[in-house]
Amino acid sequence: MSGVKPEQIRNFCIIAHIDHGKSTLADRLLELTGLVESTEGRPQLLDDMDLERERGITIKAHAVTMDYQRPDGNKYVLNLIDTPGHVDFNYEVSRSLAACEGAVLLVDASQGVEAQTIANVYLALEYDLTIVPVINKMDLESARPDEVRLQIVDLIGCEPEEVLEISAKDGTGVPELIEAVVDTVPAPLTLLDDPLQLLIFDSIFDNYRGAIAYIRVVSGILKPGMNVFFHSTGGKYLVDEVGLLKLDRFAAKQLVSGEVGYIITGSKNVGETRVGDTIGDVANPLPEPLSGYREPKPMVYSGLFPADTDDYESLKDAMAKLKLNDASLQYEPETSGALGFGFRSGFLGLLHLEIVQERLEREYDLNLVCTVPNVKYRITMLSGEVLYIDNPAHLPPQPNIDTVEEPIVNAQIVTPPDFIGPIMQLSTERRGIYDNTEYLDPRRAVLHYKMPLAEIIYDFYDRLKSLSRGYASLDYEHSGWEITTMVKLDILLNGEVIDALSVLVHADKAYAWGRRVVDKLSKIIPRQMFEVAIQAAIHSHIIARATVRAMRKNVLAKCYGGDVTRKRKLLEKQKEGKKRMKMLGHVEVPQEAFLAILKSD
Amino acid sequence: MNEFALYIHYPFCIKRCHYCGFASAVYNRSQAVNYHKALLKEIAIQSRQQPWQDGTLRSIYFGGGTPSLMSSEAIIELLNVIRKSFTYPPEIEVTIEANPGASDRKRFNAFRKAGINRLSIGAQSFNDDELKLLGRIHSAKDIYTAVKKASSAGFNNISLDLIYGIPGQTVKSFLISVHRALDLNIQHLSTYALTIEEKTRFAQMINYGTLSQPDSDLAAEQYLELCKIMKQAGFYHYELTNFARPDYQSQHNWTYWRRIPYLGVGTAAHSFDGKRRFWNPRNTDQYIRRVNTPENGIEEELLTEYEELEEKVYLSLRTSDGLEMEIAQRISSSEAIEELLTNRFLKSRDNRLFVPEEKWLLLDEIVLKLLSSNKKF
Repeated sequence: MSGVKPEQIRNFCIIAHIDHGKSTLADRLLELTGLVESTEGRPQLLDDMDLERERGITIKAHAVTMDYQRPDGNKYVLNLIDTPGHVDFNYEVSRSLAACEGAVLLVDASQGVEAQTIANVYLALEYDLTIVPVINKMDLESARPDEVRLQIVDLIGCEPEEVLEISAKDGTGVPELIEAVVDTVPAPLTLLDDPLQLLIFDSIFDNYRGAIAYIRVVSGILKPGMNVFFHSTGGKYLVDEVGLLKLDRFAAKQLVSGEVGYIITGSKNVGETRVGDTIGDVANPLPEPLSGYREPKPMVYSGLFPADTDDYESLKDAMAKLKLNDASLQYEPETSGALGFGFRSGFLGLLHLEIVQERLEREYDLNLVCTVPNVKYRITMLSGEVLYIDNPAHLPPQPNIDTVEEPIVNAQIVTPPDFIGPIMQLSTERRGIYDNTEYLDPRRAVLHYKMPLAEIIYDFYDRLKSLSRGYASLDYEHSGWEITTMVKLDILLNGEVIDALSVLVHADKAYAWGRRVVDKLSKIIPRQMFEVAIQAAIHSHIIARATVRAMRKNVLAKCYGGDVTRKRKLLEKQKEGKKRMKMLGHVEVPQEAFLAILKSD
Repeated sequence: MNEFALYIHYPFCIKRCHYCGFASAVYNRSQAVNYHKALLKEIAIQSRQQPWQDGTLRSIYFGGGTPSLMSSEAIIELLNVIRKSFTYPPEIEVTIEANPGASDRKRFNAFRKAGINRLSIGAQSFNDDELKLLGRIHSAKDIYTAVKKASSAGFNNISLDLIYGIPGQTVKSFLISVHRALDLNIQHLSTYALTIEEKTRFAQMINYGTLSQPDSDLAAEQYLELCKIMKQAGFYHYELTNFARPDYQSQHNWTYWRRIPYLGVGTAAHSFDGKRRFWNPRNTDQYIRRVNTPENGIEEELLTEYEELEEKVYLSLRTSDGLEMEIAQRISSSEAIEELLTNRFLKSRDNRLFVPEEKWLLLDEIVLKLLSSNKKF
């Protein structure tokens, strides 16, 4: 590009817990490096989506290139790569970290080190990143820097005096922080003469330009006009444009080893520009891609249906558009007796599911119902045929099944030793098989478990967080299949099986699940004009039952002084409320019921 | 247009009741004087406007607030202006609402003499504990006295209001109130299930946890018992909340349910000219200002064809008139009507639909079923 030399480049990310001030710090960095004058009025520039600002989490990775001149006049290029922050997106985090040489560890001066931070610090250490430890929010009265400094020293083994103290809010200490990044984060390796290798750490879809990959140039020099190929798909493309990610895209003549930027090829969809994939030079290819790439692999499946069956076509369009931006989303058409036409969809995890649902509802103005998520099962029939089932409705008749296998994961739970007892209890409840415990240091243990994925997807993470007061963190990877005894549990409303509420569940848990769902539904389903019987059944054998008594009164009797208008408005309001209801059989069920039955009380 | 009703609102009370969410305020003499002048002026202005100018009054109703707080001179003056401004038959129903705690014989005599022939007394309950909880200014004994004074003043068309579904009330205590009311030889009874309105003392109490939410099951039971007793007593249940002896149904009430035009004057009063609904400001000072500067425009809504149908559905089904089948068929699906008929939430007779008395408390639910069954709307 601008003739920048690798030794002038610093690639780094910020590791922080939710609300510890990552976005505020990013805003200050943008101001101090002169990329924006002031972020006032539009704070948290890097969190693009409203959803990200509201939830305080980063869903997609972002990057921004800043020019920095040291007091001594030397010029540097700082690339800040923002990372997503949830276990569902662990893989995406690891790809962002792999694009950096350093990480700013940002810890809230009053909250101290939190679990999510620990998990990501370990990940960063795994990639040999240099950690710049920082205590933020020094302006708070409740700041307790001495304690927090000790936690940080414990966590990364640095010297106490290396820990910087800043207030991202008022800017105190931020210039020193930038200096520290320049001083301590190593410059990227100079591999200008090696064949081209680009690491994709994110990609977005642009309506005019197609798929745009955010990349780190690991080696070589990237120029427009080159022929490049994607390792995972083999797709070959001509490079249209390369450039830097300032606040907007900023085209450049070239990107050299060590730089971070974007690349636009003729590729039309993000399914080709996969996070973690390697882009190489057709003319001078390296046979091996960069390590660490994984196929986008859904872990959790759920049916997405429009609340109003007339909205199917709009949902279809919206899914197609969202998919352009989210390569990990997979879906195919599904028909439900209760909910009509929709899509069976695969997600990275429950949070990913919730995010997709929320984005579809907000960005495409849809009203959705999503069914109870489940994992994919591998079923061997007596005939020897092998099926993969991700939808309870597709389960073949029991007598024809030989074995059912479920996905198993290796789970690592990082926790302070105090919580080991309750965590082990929880893991055993969830059919976890204990492997071993490692101590990273006296204050942190790692429990290793083999666990059915089906047990993790519901509320395992939330339970883990609550019983460890937020300290424990979880990571897992798929490790294979194991035989299981699984049954299909049906829910009946006034005697009618509601297919959308059927679940695949482990035989030992069927009763508890049935009881819980029936109780939950009896609280969520409002009283109606007739009594509603809610039943849970396995093979038409009823295992749990509850009743919602008939409603006896719903009328606004008073009509003050002829105010008929108010009556009609109240009725309209009730009518709107009914629209949030789904008719299942003859019973009105609030849409929230579908997600609510997943959450523990 | 021929017939219409006239409603005159009097927004002042001695004290605000704990459940009352209506436009009322504590009596203030100078405001009341200005208000009276505004009422006279509004009546005069409206009487020169269409459609009222060419119409005939079918009923006159003084509601509130507590209109029985008005002086006899004020009432007489209002009725004089009404007489001069509108035409109406000599036997027209003229009602005034009275609070048992603000009822004196002199005033009742004057009201009667001025041409008022129907009295609606806000009894609410015959149980002193319940009255106290409701924040009423009177006791059960005051109700007897008020009715007695009214009778001796010559009123022979008296209605009482009762409230049920009061937290702490039992089926029995409510039925005692019903019997006490019947013992007074009244001609008409209005009963309301307590609803908690926003910004009332009750809403606040529920918020603080010092009052429990009204129990809809209790209210339903009270209602069913009430229906039985009233039938035995020879009263006709002509509208969800109203019972009357033969020939004593309130003409004024019917105006609302049958969508007959009405002119409302005074604070927050609503009017309907057959197509358009409009209303006065909810605040009395604003109302007075508005009357004096009529160019300031009013709040109104012009009903769409659909809204008109919608109104017909929920207003007609409140009454013993029932709803024309043809209207129901236009607004809802035949499946929905059929289902409601099969499950006896509706019955049909002479090409009309009715809500059976025992299901009337589910009216909104039934109406919603009808209104949401047609995809077109």
